[in-house]
Amino acid sequence: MMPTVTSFEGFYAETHTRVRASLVVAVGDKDVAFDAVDEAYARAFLAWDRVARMDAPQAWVYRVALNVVRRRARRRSLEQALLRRVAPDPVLPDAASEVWLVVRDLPERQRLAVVLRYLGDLTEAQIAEVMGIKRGTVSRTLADAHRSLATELGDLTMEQR
Amino acid sequence: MNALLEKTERLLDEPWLERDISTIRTRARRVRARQRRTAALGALAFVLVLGAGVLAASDAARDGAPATLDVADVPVAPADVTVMVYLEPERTSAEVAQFSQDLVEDPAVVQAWFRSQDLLYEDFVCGFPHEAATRDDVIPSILPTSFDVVLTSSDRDSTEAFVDRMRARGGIEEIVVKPTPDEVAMSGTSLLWRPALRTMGCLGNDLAGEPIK
Repeated sequence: MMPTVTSFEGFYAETHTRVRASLVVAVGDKDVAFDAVDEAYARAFLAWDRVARMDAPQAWVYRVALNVVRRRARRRSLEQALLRRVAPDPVLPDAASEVWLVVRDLPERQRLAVVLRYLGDLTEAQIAEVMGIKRGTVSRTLADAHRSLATELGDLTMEQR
Repeated sequence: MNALLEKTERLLDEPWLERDISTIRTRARRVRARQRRTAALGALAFVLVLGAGVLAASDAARDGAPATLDVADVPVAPADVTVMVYLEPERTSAEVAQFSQDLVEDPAVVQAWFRSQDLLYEDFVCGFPHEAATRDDVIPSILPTSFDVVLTSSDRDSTEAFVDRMRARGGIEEIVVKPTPDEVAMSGTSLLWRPALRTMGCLGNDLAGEPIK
């Protein structure tokens, strides 16, 4: 459910923990995610007159935050990117790590769609807006992710027994 | 999926997700300062680059060599475009589509073309060919989409009325009106008037947008 808001303060109070949790899991790095979320909310604060009139201000914040993450990722050198590939997963707080472990092996698009759906609580149409893809593509991506996760979660359940 | 939902619910209860709103207000001040700094530097860089082009053309003319740059004869954008409207980069695709529709229905608009972020990025790269550091900091998704517009009347009053109408609807990053020859000759009158880029050797770079009207 998207919150009905009139003030930036109310919007922030209602949405920011969910947005932070989503970005942390989507990115897999708490510091990077928090920085991007802060930037997105700061821009929303500056443009609140306009953002408040949008159908889904929360989706806009996700979009801006993800753009910030992508922009910074492009600025990193190839060397850093290669190092990160062989580096261990970043250390996440336990509760975030539990979700991250479930979704980390999904292809990036599936991981983002799942995070926005289940952590971000966005509709498929809003996810399409955030990710810049068609709604039908979101449906297919989520269906593919569900199949992968059913297998993954099944395996986890078996291991826990 | 229940297992995933349980984990997400636990995560959402975590206290470390809380962050005071004062952090955002502080960050907003930094963002505003950065935006102003970037705009100022961008405009300055463009003026310097274009100014250098004017001087090079003047020197070449004095030396009797064929002038490679002739700012006074800067060709106009395709189909005699009179106004370029740049939307804020954060505009959603639905908002861009609505703006496009508004232009189509606007009686003052004769023709209009939509230009994507990728097209503007091509212009940008061509305009700053040696500024690798600047280019690394810019990717298409942070640039504005825009519309090239031909108005029924290009006189100053009609143009200003159109510009005022566009600004009033909000979401506009910049509106650039075709500069007069005198303004062009003074150089650097407009950061985003693409024909000016041609004076810097970007002849093949003024890519046509998608016609919408």
